[in-house]
Amino acid sequence: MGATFEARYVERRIREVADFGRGRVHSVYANSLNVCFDGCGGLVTILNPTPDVAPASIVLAQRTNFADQGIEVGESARFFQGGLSVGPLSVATKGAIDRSCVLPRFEKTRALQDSCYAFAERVDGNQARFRGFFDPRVERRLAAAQRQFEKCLASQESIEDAVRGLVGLGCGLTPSGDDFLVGAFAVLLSLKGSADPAVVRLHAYLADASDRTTDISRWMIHYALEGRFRESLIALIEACATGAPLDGPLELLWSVGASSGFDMSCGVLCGLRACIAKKEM
Amino acid sequence: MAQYICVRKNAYHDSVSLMTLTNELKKSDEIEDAVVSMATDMNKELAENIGFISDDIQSAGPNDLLIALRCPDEEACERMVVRVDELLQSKKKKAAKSKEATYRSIHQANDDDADLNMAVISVAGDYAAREVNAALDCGMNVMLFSDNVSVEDEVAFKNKAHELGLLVMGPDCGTAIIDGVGLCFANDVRRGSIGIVAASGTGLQEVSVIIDRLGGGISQAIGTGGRDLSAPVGGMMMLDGISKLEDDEDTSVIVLVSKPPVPEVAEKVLHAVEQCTKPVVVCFIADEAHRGGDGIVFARSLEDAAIQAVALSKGEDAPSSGKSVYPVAEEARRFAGKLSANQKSIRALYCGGTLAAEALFEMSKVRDGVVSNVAKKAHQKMSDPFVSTGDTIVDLGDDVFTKGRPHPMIDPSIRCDRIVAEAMDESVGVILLDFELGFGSNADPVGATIEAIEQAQKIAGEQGRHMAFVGYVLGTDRDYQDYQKQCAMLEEAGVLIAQSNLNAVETALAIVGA
Repeated sequence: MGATFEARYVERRIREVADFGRGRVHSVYANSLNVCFDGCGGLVTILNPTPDVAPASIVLAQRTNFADQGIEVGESARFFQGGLSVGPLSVATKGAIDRSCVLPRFEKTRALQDSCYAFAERVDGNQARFRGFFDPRVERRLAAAQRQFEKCLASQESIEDAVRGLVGLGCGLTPSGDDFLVGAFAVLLSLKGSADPAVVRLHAYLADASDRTTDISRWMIHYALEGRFRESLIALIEACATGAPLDGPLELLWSVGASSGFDMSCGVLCGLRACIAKKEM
Repeated sequence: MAQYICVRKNAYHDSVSLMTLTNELKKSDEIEDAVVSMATDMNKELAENIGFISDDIQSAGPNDLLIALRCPDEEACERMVVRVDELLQSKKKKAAKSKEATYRSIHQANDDDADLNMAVISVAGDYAAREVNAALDCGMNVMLFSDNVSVEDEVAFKNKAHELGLLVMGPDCGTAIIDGVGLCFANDVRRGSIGIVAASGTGLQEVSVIIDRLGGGISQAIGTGGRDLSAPVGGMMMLDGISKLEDDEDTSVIVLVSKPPVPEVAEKVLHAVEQCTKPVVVCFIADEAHRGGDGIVFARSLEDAAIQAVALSKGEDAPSSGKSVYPVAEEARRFAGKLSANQKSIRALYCGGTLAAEALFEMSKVRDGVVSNVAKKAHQKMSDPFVSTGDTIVDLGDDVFTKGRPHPMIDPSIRCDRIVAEAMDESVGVILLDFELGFGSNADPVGATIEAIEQAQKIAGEQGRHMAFVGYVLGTDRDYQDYQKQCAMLEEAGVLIAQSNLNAVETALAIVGA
């Protein structure tokens, strides 16, 4: 008989899904477990305790090592009333606190410009910390692709090529290029709104390019296109928009993955610069 | 030159693992170039740009792991392939021995190792709360060495820890023993059935080493931080510690060590003690208000707390005494005979603050006019912590002495100048010194002080005086500093060795004829 764990947090949207369908374990790590559902559920991630809730995630109240739970990739999973079973493991979600990963609209304020300067300084000062162990060729390619994207965003030309030059670029389960694009898209979506023509175009290009990357990243992009982002990314955008201190939100986002959080923050900075550019998009 | 290209279908390894793997491979002289990444279109293009071209790469999908190596020859390639597998598997097999790894944040450490359950935090006080909260959010207990943490922060994160069922030991906590692992300044003591909860670092140390000497052992020793028993914090960690030891099946006796709490907190703590099914020994240092009743054993000193705890762990009774069970050495009386009529003052120069507090209490019972920088009562406070007068007890670990300098338990040399200065005072008969051994303490506390002792004796000798020294080595035979060697060095320098802090104080008093 397997173990039962209590969930502390559940992303609210998970509770709203009518039918998850059949699930299969996609991947198992020490600190997380991914399950793919063939119904409306998509990729659901079960995580060890963390304050940073991501889209489609269930955060446990107590830690465990998922890799030691005897769960095999491909094993079946299903939601039932009050919880989820994954192979020998059960997670009780009934008492969990709902958390929202829906990105709110923020107003473009004067604080944005100051935030941008402070933000850029922090990012520049931490490049070596996060990119220092990158393969230099990947780093050069990534930097060039990011610059190209920013240029295209400003001119509104060749954005599709710029997006395709980033999706799937970099090692890791969510390649750096994808994280960057999600960060940039989040800022544009929040500050310009989903009906803005530039946001609509970027949404389409991202959707089109998303099959060029890993499953896990593809789902991250999918949730982003639905307006759902991890809480630390939302908190950072809010801090930028309101002029609140950046240190706390930056450090929390930067603790995501090996460089994923930092890559997302680089995307946020790119999006901010696009929003405060003199020439309106 | 040889190449190895392999695509592993649907192979998922987290980003930190892949980055680490790439960096480890590149350190090897046998690798000229390497690519380890998911086979997305962009990454495949990159690999092809640097000369890794094959049909396998062409047909690989974004969920496949691409491993491409370039080595001087085939044999090197084969060795490196084995190395790749070792590195990819190493995260699944936990090494039996402890491993050291460097992370940029608590969250990253948590991502890399799900089994981490304790964070020892030592950052500037302004940043401590953020790191404590990060650790708690990751399900880790905390030992917080930092000081200068606001009381508001302490209350907030201790409340959070309590709700999560976790411990926050601190702020300003330097000593703990958890599941047999000594943290920071802890001593290497035997494991056993006595659990300690202490709002006092050297108090915890003193009790634990005497327990060890008496044949007992420690199940857990939980530090709470010095401010835990203040009114705003309300003894939160002390109460949680008591509860945890009550539930701990390896603990049969509980010992509490602290300075006397404020009355409302003392009431809460003693109420919790009364609910315990296990015997509890309470040592409120320098406390005269509590003296037994209702099944609670109140110890009269740190030494007494250890003696009572060991007796209870064996199911025995031991008479509680305000005097040390260790006799004052005969040499003390001979030393007394060598002092001049003027030499009536004791100068106790401590590294351990709690030992200083206990010394003040004990000395004040039999001597008037004792002053100290740890005194709470106005008439016992030193007017200038840098200037001793009459009987003076100095805690050299106090902030006024350690600004920009290491604590004297780490660097005892800060006490050396003071030893020499005291020797110049013709009224001084005895200088009392403590030497703390343990995992975090100086590698040779006595060795770092011997020269100052000899210089002090020389100064006194040149002025026709004899200077008596009493030394107490707080440690066990298992501490790495070699307890016997530390004592031998002191003996060779003519220092009288005491067996406990209480014994050291009684010895000093005997020398000056108190």
